[in-house]
Amino acid sequence: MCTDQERPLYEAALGNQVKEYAEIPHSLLGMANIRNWIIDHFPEDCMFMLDDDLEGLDVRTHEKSRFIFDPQIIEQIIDNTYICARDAGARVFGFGVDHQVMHFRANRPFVVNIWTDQGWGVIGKDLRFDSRMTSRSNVDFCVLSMMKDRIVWIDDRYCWRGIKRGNIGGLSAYRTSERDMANGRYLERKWGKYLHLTMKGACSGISVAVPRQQPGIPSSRVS
Amino acid sequence: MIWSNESIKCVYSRLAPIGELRPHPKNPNQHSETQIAMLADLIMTVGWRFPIVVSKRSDYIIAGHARLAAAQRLNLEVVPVDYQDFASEQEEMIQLLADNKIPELAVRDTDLEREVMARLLADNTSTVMLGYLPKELDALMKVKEKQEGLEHQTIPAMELMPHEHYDYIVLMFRHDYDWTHALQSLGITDVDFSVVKQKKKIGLGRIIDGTRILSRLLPSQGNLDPRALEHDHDTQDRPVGDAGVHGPGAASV
Repeated sequence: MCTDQERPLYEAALGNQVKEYAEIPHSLLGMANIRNWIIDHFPEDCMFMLDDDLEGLDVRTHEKSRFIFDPQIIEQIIDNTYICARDAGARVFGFGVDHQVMHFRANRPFVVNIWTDQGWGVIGKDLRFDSRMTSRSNVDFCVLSMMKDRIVWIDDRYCWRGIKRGNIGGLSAYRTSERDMANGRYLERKWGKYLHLTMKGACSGISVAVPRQQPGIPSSRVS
Repeated sequence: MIWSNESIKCVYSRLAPIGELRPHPKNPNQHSETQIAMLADLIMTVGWRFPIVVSKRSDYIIAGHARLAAAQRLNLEVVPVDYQDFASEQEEMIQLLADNKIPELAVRDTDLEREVMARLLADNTSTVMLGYLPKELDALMKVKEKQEGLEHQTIPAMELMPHEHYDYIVLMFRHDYDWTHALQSLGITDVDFSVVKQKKKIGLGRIIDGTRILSRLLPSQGNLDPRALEHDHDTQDRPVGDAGVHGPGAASV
């Protein structure tokens, strides 16, 4: 998928590697508008968005994370996660964003109240991306889904592995730390106490606080 | 482009071709591209709520010059027009001026405005068509943040509902027969086996609403009707507040 003006560039660079192109208008600005356009113009029930700097999936269920780079297996994992999300009534599905194996909770492989990124999917056409956002619209969309559908479906066993800061194009054309921060602050204003912008040095992070379980219920032990 | 009649929500005399309409030569209002783009977006979203008013006497547009420009921007072929009687040129001029000038005198209740805007923003409604420039909108919402401490404000729809609780049990099947037997017993249809028929297999997962499981485990207890639940499950957009059961096949990853 590329814009109508960028298509010749992609064709020249990729040659016969890509058999079919889908064009989006070059005049669309911002990921939110592009994603809304795709939802409106494609009949498919599910839209899955992948960053272009991903290498594969890390599996966090072992002592050391294992890396899956086989496209066939990754495609099956995505398909399966989509099926589970649809069964559960969620309209957003994806994988964890925390790479730390130590943070993985084996008794809670699926999480319903966190945001997701890098490679994630949207089911149906009812929810809309916030067209005022130029970045981080994924966080906004996840929180919106938590409000409307009550849950998102995140398979926390996996997380994407990407080439950090090794890629240009896409968002990097107009993404700056200042704009990123502005988008984060906008999210804070919009979602109030349910979303927090955190700072780690010069980098900003976002955490959401949307409870989806009654407190005080003890964990079970089955032998 | 010709719109279906469902898009026209206002009363009108007839659908007139755009080429037939004549803007009033003495219309003092000039419309910017931004304004016309906003109006076009509004018409696309909520349809035609007002017709273009044309005088039967002079055949000039008296009200709706911007709507005409928006229709041209949208490449519409016909627009809803209301042909009205005007006794004199003076009456036409009065209406032409007052139609734009009187609304300018309205005073907005900014608190109410912010409240409405916050609801629209929460639903990710496009704000382009509302007539607010980005700076104007930011100023409006920032004032609210300062005044009411928005960062600590509760959004009712986001709060945990009574007894709301999402949890799940994972079942694992090591053999295909057991897995398909479970699918049959639990009434799971529409299984996409193409996922597991691939050369490189992964586990197959499905989610079942917890109430359905309970109804099958305890068919004689309570007043739960499994068939009704199954029907509910199929028609509801989402299960609410119950345990889900997840059954993967033998995972190879």
